[in-house]
Amino acid sequence: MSSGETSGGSGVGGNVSSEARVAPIWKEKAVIANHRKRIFFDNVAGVLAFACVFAVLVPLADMVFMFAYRGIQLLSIESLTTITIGSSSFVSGGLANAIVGTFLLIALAAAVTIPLGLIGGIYMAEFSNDGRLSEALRFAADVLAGNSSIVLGYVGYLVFVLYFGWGYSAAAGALTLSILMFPYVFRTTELALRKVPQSIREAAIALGSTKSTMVNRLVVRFAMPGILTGILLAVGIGLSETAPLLYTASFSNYIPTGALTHQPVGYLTYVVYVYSQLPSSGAHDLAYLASFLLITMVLTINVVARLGLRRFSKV
Amino acid sequence: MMKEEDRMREGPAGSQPVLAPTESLIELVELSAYYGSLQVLKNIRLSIEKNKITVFMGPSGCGKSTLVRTLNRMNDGVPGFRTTGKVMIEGQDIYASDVDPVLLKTRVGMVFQKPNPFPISIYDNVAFGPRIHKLAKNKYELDSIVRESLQKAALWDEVKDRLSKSATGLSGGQQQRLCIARALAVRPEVLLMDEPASALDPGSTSKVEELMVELKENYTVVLVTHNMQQAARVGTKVAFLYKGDLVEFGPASDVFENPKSPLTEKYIRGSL
Repeated sequence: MSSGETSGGSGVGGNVSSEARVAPIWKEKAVIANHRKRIFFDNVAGVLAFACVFAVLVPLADMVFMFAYRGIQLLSIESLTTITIGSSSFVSGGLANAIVGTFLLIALAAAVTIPLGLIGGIYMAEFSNDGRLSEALRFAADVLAGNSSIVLGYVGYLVFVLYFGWGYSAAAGALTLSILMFPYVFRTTELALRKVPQSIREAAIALGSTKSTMVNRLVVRFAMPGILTGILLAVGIGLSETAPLLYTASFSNYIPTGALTHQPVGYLTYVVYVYSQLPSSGAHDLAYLASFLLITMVLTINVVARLGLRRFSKV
Repeated sequence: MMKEEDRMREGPAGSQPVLAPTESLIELVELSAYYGSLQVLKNIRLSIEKNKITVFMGPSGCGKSTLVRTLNRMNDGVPGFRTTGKVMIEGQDIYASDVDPVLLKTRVGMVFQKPNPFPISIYDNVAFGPRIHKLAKNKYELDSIVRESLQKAALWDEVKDRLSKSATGLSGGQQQRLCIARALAVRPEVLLMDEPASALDPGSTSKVEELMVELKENYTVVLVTHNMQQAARVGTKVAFLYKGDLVEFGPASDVFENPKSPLTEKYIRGSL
C-alpha cells in the first residue's frame, strides 16, 4: 500500500486498508466537525440556562429590594405596635392588629392541620395497604392542593361563617386556612416516611419491635427533616394566602381579644391587597410595610427550614 | 450442664423449660413456603442443633434466605407469603396461633446481609432493643447491657470511647458487628445471619467469622451464605439447597469431602 493517498487530507475517505481501520478517529474531519458542533450547542445550552435563571432571579431580587427599600423606611416601633386607623380612603396608623391577627390565624390553623396531616401521612406511608382507598385519599389531597383558594374561601364562608354561625372570625378563617395547608403536610409527611430505608424497618422488626413502636421511635425520627419541610411549606402557604380569609375572617382594625367566633380578624395580606388599591399615600405606605413584613417572614421560614434540614440530616 | 441451666435462666419468659438438654433446638417438619403461587421451599425437613453453626448454602434463588426468614417469621409482612408444615422450636410450632410473632423475634435474633445500623448513636443502637422491651430498670443496668453486648460482639474496645457518636461513622465491618451486638442485647437463643459478610472486605469477613465461632458457645447460629469456603470454615452442619429443595444436609466435612448428591458435588466444584 502506497502512502500517496494520505496526502489528500487526514486519512479519511477511500482509505480502507488495515492501516485505516486502526487509525484513531480523532483525526477524522467528520468527527472533528461533529465535535465542534456539539461544543457549540453545549455552550448555547449553557447560556440559555443561565439566562433563564437570571430571568427568574431578577424579578425576585427586584421585588425583595423594592419592598425592603420602602419597608425599612416605614418600619418603626410605632408602625408595628399601633393599630390601623380608618378604613376607606384615608387609612393611617400601624399594623399591630394585622400582625397579631396573622400570627393568631396561622397558629390556630397549624394547630389543627399539623396533627391531622402528620397522622394522615403516617397512616398512608406505614399502615395503609396501598389499595383503592389510599389512592383516592392521595388524589383528593392533590386536588385540594391544586384548588383555587378563593373557591375554598367561599366554601369556608358558607360552612363556617353561615352554616355554623360563627360569623367572620378567627375560627372560620383558621379552619379554612387549615384545609388549604393540610395537603402539604399530609403529602410531604408520606413522601418523607417512604424515603426511610426498608432495611431500618427490618432491623427494628427483627429486634421484636411492634410496627407502631418502629414508626414512632425510628421512622418518624429519620423522616423528620422532610416532615418539617412540609410543615414549614404549609405555614408559608398559609401566611401568604388572602382569598380564603377575605370571606371568612373579613378584617378588623382592632387587636384580636382571643374570641374565636363572631369577631373579625385583621391580617397582613388583606392590607396588601386592599390598601394598595386605595387612593391615599398612607394606605400605600401600610401596604408596602405589610408586603415587607410578609416577605421577611416567608424568607425567615425558608432559611430556618434549610438550616433545620441541614442539622437534622447530619444525625 | 451448669451452663445449660444458666442459659435457661437467661432465656425469655416464654421459653419452655426442657429437662434433658436435647441436641436439636429447631425442627423443620415438611416446611414449604410460597410467594403467591410460586413455591420457593419444598417440604424441607431438617433439625438445627443447639450451640452449633448450621449453614444454609446454595446458589442465588435456591430459597436459603427465605428459609432462614421463616425461622423468625420475618416474612410475615410480605404480601402473598405463606408457609405450610411446621417450624418447631423446643417442641412448639412457631407458626401456631398462640405464638406472638413479635416476642418470637427476641428469641430468634437476626443479622442482615447489608449492615443496617440505625443512623443514631452507637449506644442508642444497642440500647434500642433493651429499651423497647424494658430490660433495664435504670441507666446503670442499660449501660451494662450495652457494654456486655458490645463485648460479646468483639466491638467494645473499638467503640468504648465514642459510644455517643453516630453508628454510620463506623466501617462496614464494625457496623455489622454493631448489628450483631444490637441483636444480642435482647438475649436471643438463636442468631440468624443472612450472608452477614457478603458486603464486607476480607479482613472484616474473617473477624465476623471468628465472632460466629465464639458466639456458638452461647447461641445457636444459623448462617446463610453462598461462600463455600466460609461454610466449610465455620459450619458444623451444612445444608445445600437448590431450587427450593433440600438436596443434602450433614456434617460440614461430609458435605464438602463426600457429597452424596451429584448436584452438591457440581456446586462445590463450581460448575452448577
